[in-house]
Amino acid sequence: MKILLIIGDRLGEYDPLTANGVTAGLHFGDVTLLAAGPNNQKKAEQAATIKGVSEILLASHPALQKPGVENLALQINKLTPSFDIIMAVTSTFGSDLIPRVAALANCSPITGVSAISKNHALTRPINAGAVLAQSALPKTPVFLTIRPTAFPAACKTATTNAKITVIDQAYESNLSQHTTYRPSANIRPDPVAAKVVVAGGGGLQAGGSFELVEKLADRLDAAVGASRTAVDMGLASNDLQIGQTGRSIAPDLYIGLGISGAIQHLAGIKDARMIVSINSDPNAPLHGAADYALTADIFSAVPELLKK
Amino acid sequence: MKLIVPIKMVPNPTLPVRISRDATKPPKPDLKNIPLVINPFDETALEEAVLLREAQIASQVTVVCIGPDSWEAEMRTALALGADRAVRIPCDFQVSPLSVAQCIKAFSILEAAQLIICGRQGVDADRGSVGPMVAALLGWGQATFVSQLKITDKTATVQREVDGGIHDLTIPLPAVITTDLRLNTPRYASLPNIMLARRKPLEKLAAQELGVELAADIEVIQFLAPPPRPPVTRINSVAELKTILSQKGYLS
Ligand SMILES: Cc1cc2nc3c(=O)[nH]c(=O)nc-3n(C[C@H](O)[C@H](O)[C@H](O)COP(=O)(O)OP(=O)(O)OC[C@H]3O[C@@H](n4cnc5c(N)ncnc54)[C@H](O)[C@@H]3O)c2cc1C
Ligand SMILES: Nc1ncnc2c1ncn2[C@@H]1O[C@H](COP(=O)(O)O)[C@@H](O)[C@H]1O
Repeated sequence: MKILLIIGDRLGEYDPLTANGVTAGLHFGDVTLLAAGPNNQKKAEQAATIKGVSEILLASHPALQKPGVENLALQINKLTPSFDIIMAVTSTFGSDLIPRVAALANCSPITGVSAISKNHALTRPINAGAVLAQSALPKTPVFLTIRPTAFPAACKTATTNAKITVIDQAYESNLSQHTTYRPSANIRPDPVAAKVVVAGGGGLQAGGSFELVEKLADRLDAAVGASRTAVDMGLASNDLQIGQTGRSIAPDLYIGLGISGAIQHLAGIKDARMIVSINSDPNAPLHGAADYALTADIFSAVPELLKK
Repeated sequence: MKLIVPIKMVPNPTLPVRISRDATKPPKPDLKNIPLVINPFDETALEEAVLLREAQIASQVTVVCIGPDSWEAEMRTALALGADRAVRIPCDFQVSPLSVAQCIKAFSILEAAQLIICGRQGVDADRGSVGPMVAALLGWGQATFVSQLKITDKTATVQREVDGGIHDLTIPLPAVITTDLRLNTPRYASLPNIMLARRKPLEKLAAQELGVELAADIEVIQFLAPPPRPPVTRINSVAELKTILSQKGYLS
């Protein structure tokens, strides 16, 4: 089968989770990438060294320089007849784009795929991850987003064999007009790709900041995550929200500080290898879902943990 | 300006969904005892639409759903929350997202709507596909994951919550917006409004009248429970946690 994977875009730059998309794409067949939108040349260069990529289409028309999704969707629609599967990673970029592309081809997309079996059956979590639903691969063209945490990132190679083909037709719709990106202040690794994530919740409110979470994260070389409550309280930026409507993570170690463990939060951490919960409430649901549960006040426990 | 808010009903998301373990039948999510509620993101969408009407930017707010009879009680809730009209396109099977999007498209054209506010995802199946699909079918602009919305003079200025930060975007109307929870805090239905809603009509419209043939969703061949996690180990001191983290190589 011929696969077109759209290179992920994060605030106008290359999204490294594209490499996870390649791993998923290789389950089906030959993977061609599309580099489009702002910085497409640079995106193509960054993606060219992903192992397994056979070709990169470079869409360079000025209409695609605007970050709006509408022109990009039209461009992909013109490429659809040449491919069996059109896919992207389940990121805010992919989730914005793929359903639009699918509808232009009169198809329903399948979003958030977490497993691809040998016979190409697709599994996706539903009901906040309480249930996994498996379907056969529909007839082509198929439009997918795949969960980056469910597929390891494909390796990078030293040299690239990927052929770069410039396509410069574009289809202008002039619909959304970009204004600005405001990157979040997070300077730590992306929680989706991180091996260790320290997440903070409503329990941090008494301290008025996320400092405790950040200190432990720095000590463990970890990414920072947050519950929705912590984001709503203004303690953490929105892109750090973990859960059903935030991001799904799969680190080797997740430590939840002052997080109750609502169903919607648990949905995002189910695939963590080891879960540690520190909560003053012995009955916090996260304690029930954890591998290790410590009932303690985070404002005394974390400083003690940090002591050498 | 007329506004359309597509809403769907979902099993109350604060209650855990279990998978049935009747050995004689294939496993299935057990939803029997879970009451239906308006999808939380659609409540946010409805609130935003009602706020726009209260600010006299919108003239009429219509909620529309493609769903079974059992959704009618919650259609009334939508009326009590401030919708002017509630229209249901009857459908008693698991319908495909494309059919849903086609119905919403046709209905929006019929109503000459200028703005469609959808939820970013249904929390039942976590797809998040209908909003952008409706925008595509109509050839309108879209702004997904919106946490702030301003309408001025045929333009929507929005703040989108995206990976890595915030995306500020302006799009011309007509357009499709999908909501993030931080867009607003939905109101509660007041008792007088609940009483009033009881007397408002629930409209019905057949998909055929919109020129849409409803197609079934992709078939699920198997439902599975996620792999079980090992039982929890309760630890009694920070020292013990330190030892565990050191032994596993996370803490030196
Ligand atoms: C449609 C929908 C989608 C949602 N999506 C998400 C999502 O993606 N992600 C998400 O996280 N949530 C999501 N939520 C919200 C979710 O339901 C919970 O409200 C939220 O996860 C609670 O966050 P919390 O546990 O940090 O806060 P709280 O529920 O306020 O819990 C705080 C915890 O901290 C503990 N605590 C307090 N003080 C201390 C202390 N000093 N030391 C130790 N522990 C302390 C308390 O015992 C408590 O357990 C969603 C909700 C809805 C309706
Ligand atoms: N059956 C339906 N009837 C009306 N609106 C729907 C329906 N299904 C989905 N929607 C709308 O589309 C949004 C996204 O749903 P979904 O794509 O199913 O995750 C929902 O929040 C609703 O606004």
